[in-house]
Amino acid sequence: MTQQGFEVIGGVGKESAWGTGVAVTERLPLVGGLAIKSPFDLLTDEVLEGEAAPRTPDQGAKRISGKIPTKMRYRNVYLMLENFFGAYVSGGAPLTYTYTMNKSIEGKSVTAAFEKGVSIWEYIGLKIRGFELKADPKGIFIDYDAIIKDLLRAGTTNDTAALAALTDTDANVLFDEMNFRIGDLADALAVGDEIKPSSLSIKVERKLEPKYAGGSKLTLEPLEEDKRLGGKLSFTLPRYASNTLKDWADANTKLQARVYFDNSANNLEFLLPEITVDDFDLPVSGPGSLPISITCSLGRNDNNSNMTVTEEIELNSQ
Amino acid sequence: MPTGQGHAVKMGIKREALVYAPTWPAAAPAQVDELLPVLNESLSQTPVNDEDNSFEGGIAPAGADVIFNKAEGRVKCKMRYEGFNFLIGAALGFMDPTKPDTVAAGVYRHLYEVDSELADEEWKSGEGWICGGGLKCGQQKIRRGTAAIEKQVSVHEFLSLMIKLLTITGNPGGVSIEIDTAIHSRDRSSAVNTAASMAGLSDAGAPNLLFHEVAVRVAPFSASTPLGSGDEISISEFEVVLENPFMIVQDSSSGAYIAAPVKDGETKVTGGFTMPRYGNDVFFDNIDNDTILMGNIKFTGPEIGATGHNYEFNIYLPSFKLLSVDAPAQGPGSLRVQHKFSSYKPAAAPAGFPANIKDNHLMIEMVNAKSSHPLL
Repeated sequence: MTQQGFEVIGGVGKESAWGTGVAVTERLPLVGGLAIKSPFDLLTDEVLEGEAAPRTPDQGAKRISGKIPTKMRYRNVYLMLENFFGAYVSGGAPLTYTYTMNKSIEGKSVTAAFEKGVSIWEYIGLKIRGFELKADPKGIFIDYDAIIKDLLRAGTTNDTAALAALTDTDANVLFDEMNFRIGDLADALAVGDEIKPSSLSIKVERKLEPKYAGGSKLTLEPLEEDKRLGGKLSFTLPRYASNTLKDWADANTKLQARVYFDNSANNLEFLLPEITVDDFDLPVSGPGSLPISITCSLGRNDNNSNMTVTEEIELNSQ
Repeated sequence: MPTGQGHAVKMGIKREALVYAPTWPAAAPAQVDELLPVLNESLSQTPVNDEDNSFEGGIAPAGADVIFNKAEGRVKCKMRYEGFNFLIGAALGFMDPTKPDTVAAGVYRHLYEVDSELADEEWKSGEGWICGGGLKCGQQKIRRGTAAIEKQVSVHEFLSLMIKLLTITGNPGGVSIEIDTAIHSRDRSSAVNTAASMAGLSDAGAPNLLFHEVAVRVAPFSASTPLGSGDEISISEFEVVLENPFMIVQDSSSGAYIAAPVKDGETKVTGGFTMPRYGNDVFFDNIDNDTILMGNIKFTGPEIGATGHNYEFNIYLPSFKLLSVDAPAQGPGSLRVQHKFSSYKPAAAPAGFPANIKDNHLMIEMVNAKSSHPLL
């Protein structure tokens, strides 16, 4: 049985122990570009045996990782975000969700299953080691970077019926619902700090790396092998109308930012308590407007009393 | 004349002939008939010159005399389930002469033990046989071999090679075995190991040992409770080193070459292993409490032919102590725990270990398709 891309259904379920597969409970709003690879290391033949041609290589470690691109929805797949952030609190009325960054996400993982017609591809021990939120007039997307223990194509935990039963009726997050504020730390962000980018992205990573030990081709649970370096906020302003951002860049001024989406029924709020501008790019590429591309590095909150966020990012949703 | 290329190199080592009156070196080289899966080697013979420092009224020294030919070097091989019976036997020195055991048709279990001496000597009663019981009385144990390396310009033949250091290492990149040798001499024009005889050697196809085939078990020493699955530990690399402390001398009978090496001290067995994550304090407690441990490192390979039995390579450490356990924070990543150990003679037979003849601090067991005893 062949299957087309539009027929693929993806779902995730929260594992109680890393690497032990579970039934999926939430639908993934997948978009094109699902790219999880699962190659084996090939142990090449280095032996000197009088032959110029090598032996067929032995199979070594299995390395599974890749991107899961999804549409951003207001009631987005909380399991994926919880998996990355590490801490997730829900409560209140209306229901609110607060995702805060744990130092480590040891013990946290999901099972992701994809109906591909010929078989269901079940990824167990899936950990999110990064996400990139991308916003522009074409839509809002969130790509997850996953590192995974194993791929089962004959698993019995998730079947076609289970995946087909998952529903997905949440509203998409739209670019015209975005409100972006950026300012120095002198006072809390307010209406006067609003600017209107033509595109924006937030990228945060955990340096999860696989580790292999004797007796198995599969990795041990990947853990953080470095600090969360590389967190970035990037945005493009369609027109060059002010030197404020350039002045901040030159002075290495510590800033704060808020990316807020609201469709009056639900909202999403990314809080970045302490950032600095790395790069301010103003090319003259033609006779039209001069767009400005800005990249900022994310840092933990050491100096911003206007936000109660302690790590480099927090997500609130309602 | 061909040019020497590394990928075209072929090397083998074969036990020298069993004779009732062995000589040092062997009366004749052995013709190698099996390839070693060599990764690199550095066997050589280097002359030692006696510089003439006498005062004879001139500034330039007189010509030096060669007083000694030093033959030695290392060989590193990819570890396979077959092809190493003689190397392991020659390094450790002993296997019960009634072995290998037949596990099934075409499947044999070898158990190598550490002998007190590696020089030529008679099989002794009490070593698992009775004189006249299938073994000729006065037959000698021969733990030396001839090595031959086809290097295209010539075949380098090394006569009477003995193993003074054996190192087995494993990590996810592979498992290797390295020997450091003491050798009598080199011949580059041997009539025994020739280009023609080496040309006939080819890869026998034995499977490689792979790191994901290993299971490592460590527990406090017990004469009653064998190692079990609950004693398995997760390691990212290991090393086991056997050192035969040879006395390497040149005497008045050996001419410009070494005399037959004899052991000059106790055989040392040491090693180490690394755990990729610091998850508990068990080994820290062991070293603080001076706990005696026992362990084994066992590789289980693919099926031997269609016998229903698998290749095995098992390193037994009957009794060892940790010399150091460290978990240094060298950066922001995981803390790796590094362990070093030294193996000793056990106070009693450890539970579940194979029955052995020698008082051993190391045993190596191999299950493969080789039916012959490599030292007989």
